[in-house]
Amino acid sequence: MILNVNFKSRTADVSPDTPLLWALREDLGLPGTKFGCGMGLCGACTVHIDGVATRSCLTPASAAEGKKITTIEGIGSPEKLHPVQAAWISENVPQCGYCQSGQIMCATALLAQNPNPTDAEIDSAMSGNICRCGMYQRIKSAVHIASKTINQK
Amino acid sequence: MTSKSLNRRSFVKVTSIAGGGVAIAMILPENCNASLKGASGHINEEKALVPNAFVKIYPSNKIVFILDRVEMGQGTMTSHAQILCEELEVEPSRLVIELAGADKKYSNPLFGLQLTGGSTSVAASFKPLREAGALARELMRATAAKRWNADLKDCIANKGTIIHSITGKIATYGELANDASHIKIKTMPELKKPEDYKYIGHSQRRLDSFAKVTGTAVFGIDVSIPNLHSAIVIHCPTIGGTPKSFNEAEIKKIPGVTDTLMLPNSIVIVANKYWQALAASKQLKIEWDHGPLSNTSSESIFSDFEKAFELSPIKAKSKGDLDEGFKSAVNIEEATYRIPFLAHATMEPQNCTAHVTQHFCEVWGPFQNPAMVHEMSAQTSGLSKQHVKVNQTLMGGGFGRRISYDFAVEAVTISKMTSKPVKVIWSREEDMRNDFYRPAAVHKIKAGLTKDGQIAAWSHKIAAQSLLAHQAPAFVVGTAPDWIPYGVRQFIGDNSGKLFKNVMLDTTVVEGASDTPYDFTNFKVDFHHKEVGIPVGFWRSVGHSSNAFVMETFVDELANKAKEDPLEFRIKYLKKSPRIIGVLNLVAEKSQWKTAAPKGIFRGIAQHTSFGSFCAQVVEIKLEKGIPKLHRIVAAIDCGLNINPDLVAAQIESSIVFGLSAALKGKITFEKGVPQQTNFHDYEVLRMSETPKIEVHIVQSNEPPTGVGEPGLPPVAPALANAFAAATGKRLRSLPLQFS
Repeated sequence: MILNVNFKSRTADVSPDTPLLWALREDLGLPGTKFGCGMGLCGACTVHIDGVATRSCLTPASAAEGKKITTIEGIGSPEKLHPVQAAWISENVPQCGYCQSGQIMCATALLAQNPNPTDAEIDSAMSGNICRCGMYQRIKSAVHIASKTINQK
Repeated sequence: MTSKSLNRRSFVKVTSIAGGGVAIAMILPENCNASLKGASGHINEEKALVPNAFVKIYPSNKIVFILDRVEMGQGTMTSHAQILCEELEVEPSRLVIELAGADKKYSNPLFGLQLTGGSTSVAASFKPLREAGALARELMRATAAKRWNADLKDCIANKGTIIHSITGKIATYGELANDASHIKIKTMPELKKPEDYKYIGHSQRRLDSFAKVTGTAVFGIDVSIPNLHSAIVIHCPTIGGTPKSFNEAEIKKIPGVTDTLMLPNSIVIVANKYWQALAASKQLKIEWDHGPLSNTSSESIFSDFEKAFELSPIKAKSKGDLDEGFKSAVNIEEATYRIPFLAHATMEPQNCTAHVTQHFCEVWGPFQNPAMVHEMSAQTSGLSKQHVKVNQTLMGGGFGRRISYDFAVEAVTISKMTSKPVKVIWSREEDMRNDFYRPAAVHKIKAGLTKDGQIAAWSHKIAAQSLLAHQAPAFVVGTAPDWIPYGVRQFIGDNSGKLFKNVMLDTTVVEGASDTPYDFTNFKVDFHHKEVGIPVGFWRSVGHSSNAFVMETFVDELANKAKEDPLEFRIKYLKKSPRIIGVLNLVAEKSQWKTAAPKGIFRGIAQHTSFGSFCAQVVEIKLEKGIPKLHRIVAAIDCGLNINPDLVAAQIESSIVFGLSAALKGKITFEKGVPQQTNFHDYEVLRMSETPKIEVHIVQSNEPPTGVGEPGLPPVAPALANAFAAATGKRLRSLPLQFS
């Protein structure tokens, strides 16, 4: 199966029903996307499919064929972080960090669609993502900071 | 393909043991950004100067810090780097941090076991790490002084270099490393005074953030080694049940499946890939022997606890004369509280990677208790401890769950039986149903008020399982010297567990209750032990998580009965603990407790002392159709010297959200011995939209640093229940709180 991941065409040797999450993690060497619940309840596995925040644990790999898949590894580079990643660092958002790939993918999708979200809009977009370390307040504040950075560009 | 069954006798073998350990290299570039290298497990070939167990200095000028307390979110990677660097005179951001594998030299001095837990990490490491830094720095100074034939006093350490103050000569630590191996520092240098700190006390940004926001941080689940296979484990749904048979032949035909196993409590499917194993597991047909708990339900458990009050207790604390106290009371109040079992629900489900060969066993994973993983990997593999290497990874949340090591024993067992490198990843459902739960309990409190509203007597009885009866055996095995054969240590451990059932007091059950700072004249705390067979363990703040709720809601109720302000009423009985009064006054000031709340806002207050730290909180709620909506939470914490104030604040925020999840939603229930909750739809946790604004105020102090990861949790549930009582007059005495 050919998958377009992080702007590259990649071949994944998986059965069509394999969740995209496991194709990414095991076949394409992209372990930044995390397994949390397997039922779309926690958001740890969030990636973008054609720019839309999507739960990769529930998405069959075959459903992503021919579409643009973006993972945490594809939104910035070490030299040039995405403004959301930079804001996450400046606000000391991560604790254990396990949910943060999913949180960041959700936040970047939100800001791409709505560069000036209100608190309520952030709540609404981000409440599918669990942070067991409870860093919601910092996530919200980091989304606002990233929003400012993006709008200054 | 192979399929073997394993009996318990071959599962645990007695061998002699010795030390061994390793680290996973984590590279922190000099620009403060952390990126974590893969779990190759070995440090490069350059010859490093090793002044002590925590520091390595390479001629290339790479400076390595070996972190002995695992980073699970609480911030050890940053706080401990700051502590070391204060004396080492190196900027924390330029350290390369490696996670210590299992090795006795990294034992936590407060436990005698290499364990991260109990909010001890900073307290335990504060002195040893400064000493390690100071010794390494002195070695560098002495080496430079010798090289330059200079006076030691003129050789100044600064940012990883030694500068000769007379000539301006400069040498990096790396340049001095080779020569330093010939020099000895004979006396411990004097450590800096707090007023001279330049890293300690500053909100250094987390050193692990870069890796965690770029997806490059290596958690246990991300470990990758050649030929790695994936294993799915399906445990008997009934706690303590065992498999009788399964459709082995059918499963083995499924593409990708390489092995199936029957273990004492589970069926295992090993496949080339995780998804293949998981897909195959959906086809499993297993016949179980449901075992001894198949008649156990939450109802039967709580009924057993109620009956336990009729049995004679283990005395936890007795002071004054309770009978006399009650005689002098005009008003006697009694209440019964119910506390549920709770799961940890770490974001990263339990997992472990193991590779067992005939001569060597290597294990990778997120372990709060690597010492026991080392011990049990040796026992399980049948190899001696020097032939077992335990590699530590980052951890997607611990909260006490990973003090247990059941998942590691499983991985080693499976690798040994299949002769393959294997990664075990539990599904969320397996994780939730195979936890070591926060113990459930029934509490009965009775207090007498005199006619002028004084607490004349306080009796607190707790009926519950003993956590230590379950967990102490492992601690005994892990802390006893290696020269005692494993079988003997296990025998002593098992007996120590039994002691907690009838003779010895399990302090984790009564902590925060029997040692409360409230100075009640006639006071008694009793523990009525009842074993009900549910596996129980350490859950963030342990006994404090229950006891603070019971005590702080009841004290609040008594304040109401005495018609006194809940803050002033508490302070009357806390005169012997000025630091808890300090945080109460601080939280009162910051929440404007003494001025009336805005219309529609109701406030509740609570305080608790745990893990050496003092925390008070005010919860503000609004009522919407009789249901509280959280408005704001104000917290004050005194944890002695702050190593990193922003990380302290982050831990308090984290504890509050964790505590709110438990207060509002958390409960594991049992039917026929089966945990009824399986995933985040029926074991809900707090979400962003439900999280209020949280303000944290930190007491500035030069007292020794104390716990931070847990003390923020206990006050939140009672403060919330007290706010609800302030709003409605209703006293809620069971968790999770049921508002309607």
